[in-house]
Amino acid sequence: MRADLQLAVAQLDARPGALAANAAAVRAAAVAARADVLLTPELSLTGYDVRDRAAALALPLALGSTPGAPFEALHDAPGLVIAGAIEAGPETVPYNVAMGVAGASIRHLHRKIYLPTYGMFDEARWFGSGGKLEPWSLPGGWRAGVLVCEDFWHPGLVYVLASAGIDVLLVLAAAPGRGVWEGGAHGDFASADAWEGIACTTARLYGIYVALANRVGVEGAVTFAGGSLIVSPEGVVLARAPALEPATIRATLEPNALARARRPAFHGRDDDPRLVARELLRHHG
Amino acid sequence: MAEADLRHERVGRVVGGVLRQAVADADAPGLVILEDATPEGALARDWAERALGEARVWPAGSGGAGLVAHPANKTVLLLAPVHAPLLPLGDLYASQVEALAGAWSAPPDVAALAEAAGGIAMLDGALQRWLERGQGPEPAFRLLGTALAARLEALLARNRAARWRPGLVPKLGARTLGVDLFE
Repeated sequence: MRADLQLAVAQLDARPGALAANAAAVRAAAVAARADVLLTPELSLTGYDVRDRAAALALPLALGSTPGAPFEALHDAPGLVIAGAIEAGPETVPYNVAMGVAGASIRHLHRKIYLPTYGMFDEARWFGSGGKLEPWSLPGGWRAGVLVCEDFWHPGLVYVLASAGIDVLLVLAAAPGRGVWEGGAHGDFASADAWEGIACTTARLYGIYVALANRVGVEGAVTFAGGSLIVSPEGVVLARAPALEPATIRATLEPNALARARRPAFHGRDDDPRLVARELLRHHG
Repeated sequence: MAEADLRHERVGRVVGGVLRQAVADADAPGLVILEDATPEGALARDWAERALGEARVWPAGSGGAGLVAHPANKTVLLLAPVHAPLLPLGDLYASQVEALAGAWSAPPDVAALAEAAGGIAMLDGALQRWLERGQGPEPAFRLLGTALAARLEALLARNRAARWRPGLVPKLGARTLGVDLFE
């Protein structure tokens, strides 16, 4: 039997390379939020556009270990804190990861799978790609899927997590703001509307909560859009952060809301992952 | 507030944020705005002053020792070489500057091209079809007529090297000089 879950989403700025200061900001957000789970943006501990400093900023982040020296501030942060970091993988490959820390211990890791390397993005030049999707166990019996930014634009990944029985999808993002001339429905950036559309559709399709932590601040020419969200399993925005400014939003996730969203339409119950797997294999070998 | 005013505020907030961060990153005392008597210069100065405060924004030749910003618009940056560390209006076409400030400016060869095209909106429309929508030069420039399209292509080709490494252009749209790879 699941209990209610207090979820907070902190959209923070992060200074590139300032690991200890960024960790202190994440801790401060966790202390202020006093939630069961605090979600922060992609690379919230390192900054986004670190380029070839990625290798130097990477740290060994083994499950069950204590986060190392620059991240000491996280040791006594309350609840489960989900932050973005760079993991020093085997053979010195750095990975862009989401890291779940509770009680001074690294409980979960997700390596970003899809590294955008087009247009303004150059991530595959600096990072290795992850290749696994594992639901995370959250306090109160909740199961979460965790994705990093571009991962969320690949519906196959959400499908895998949803078919594994997640209740909430947590997305860490560092999405640049675009479409300033046009503006968005709820803020300065038209690009934020696309994220919100995907979040609401995903939540409704799978009957899951969706939370998006998008960062704010400026790195070089790029302004990160903010506009973080928590969306109900019925696809309704429960909380929305403003554009441009640091902010924390929160919501109480209720088990009954999952049931309410899934009961009237049984497409989730009727979905057949084996059929999907079979057909994928048939088409892609 | 009218949509035009909202847009002015919105674009100014984003441009101002980039200028503020650039000044902070450089540990500079403020910003020097070149050509601040142009419509673009007045716009850049307004946004810079909102972001940094009036006391930290100076015109060229005033003795201020800040980061140097040239207010050239995107139409100009595509077609004529402009060199400055900061290009605050570099993601706004001349016609967008006109919508915000009531006027625009460009070097004589670019202004002549706009006049021959039938107005800045026609020239910007051709550039936007090529750059923002990814059309090839032939369909993108067709409405300008053969001779004018050739002049435009020649100007674009002449300025290609300058576009590869422009100064810092605050990103507003999908294809920003110096940020996105588009050629």
